[in-house]
Amino acid sequence: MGKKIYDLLLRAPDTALSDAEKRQMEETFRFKPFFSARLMARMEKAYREEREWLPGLTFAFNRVALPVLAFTLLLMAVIIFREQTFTLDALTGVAGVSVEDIVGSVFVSL
Amino acid sequence: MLTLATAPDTELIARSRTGDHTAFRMLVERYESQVAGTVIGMLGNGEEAEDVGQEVFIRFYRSIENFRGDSSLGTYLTRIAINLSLNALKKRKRKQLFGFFTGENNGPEFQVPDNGQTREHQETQELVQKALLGLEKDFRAVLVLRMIDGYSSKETAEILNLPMGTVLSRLSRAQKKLKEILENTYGYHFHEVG
Repeated sequence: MGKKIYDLLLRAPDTALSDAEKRQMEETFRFKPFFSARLMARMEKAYREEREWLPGLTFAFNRVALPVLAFTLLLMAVIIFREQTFTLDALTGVAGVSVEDIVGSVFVSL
Repeated sequence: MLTLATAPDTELIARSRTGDHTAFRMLVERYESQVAGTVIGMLGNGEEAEDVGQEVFIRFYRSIENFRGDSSLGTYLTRIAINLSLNALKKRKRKQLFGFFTGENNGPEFQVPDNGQTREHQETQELVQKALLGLEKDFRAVLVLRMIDGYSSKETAEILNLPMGTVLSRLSRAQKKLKEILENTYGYHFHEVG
């Protein structure tokens, strides 16, 4: 049988295989039985999980992300109102600070 | 009346788009053996091939809205199967390299699962797959598409996005190499092909 399938493999590009030979070739390269059932179960599971965690994510976004965004906007408004400007100095509360200083201090501390 | 089993692919695709799982499952059953030929030919039969095979259909399902039908569904799925198989081979190589440095054994390259087939059938599967895995992945891809999936050289060139000349030269070299493996390893002798 081994030699026969090899012979089929080598002949396949050059000659048309009979239906029986095609079937034999298919039998050599096939998944375990019930492939479609396993696939559908996997897709169903993924779909169910997605449906389970998506509302949770939306809930977390509404409860956390939106208040944080509102707080940030409020903070920015307060800074602009008090300092009449929106510079890096006003944001950090330290005069004469540059982006390079901040980045440099982070690397020094590391 | 048209039943799902006899419905054309276009009908099943249209139904799948509306969430008809039975129609999608029918498509899976229709193309399962073709996808199996590609991924098992490329990766050998084992958990990895099963996983990649499932991933092919999941990718198709996710992009079903974009499937315009420029090529046949079989060709479309084969293209996904080849790309995912090549990715899996790259991942396998990285894993083997990592295993080499960490001393971990990543197990055999493939295993033929017990599908309730005869011992002789399993042995044949194992030998064929070993012979195919003895080829470089680029040669193997051409051989799998031409020999197992039955695509023409022109279709193989389109699927692999290669010039026709490259496909023909790779095919000829792959056939030669395969014969060498079979003759040297298993002592089989063949008459000249082509």
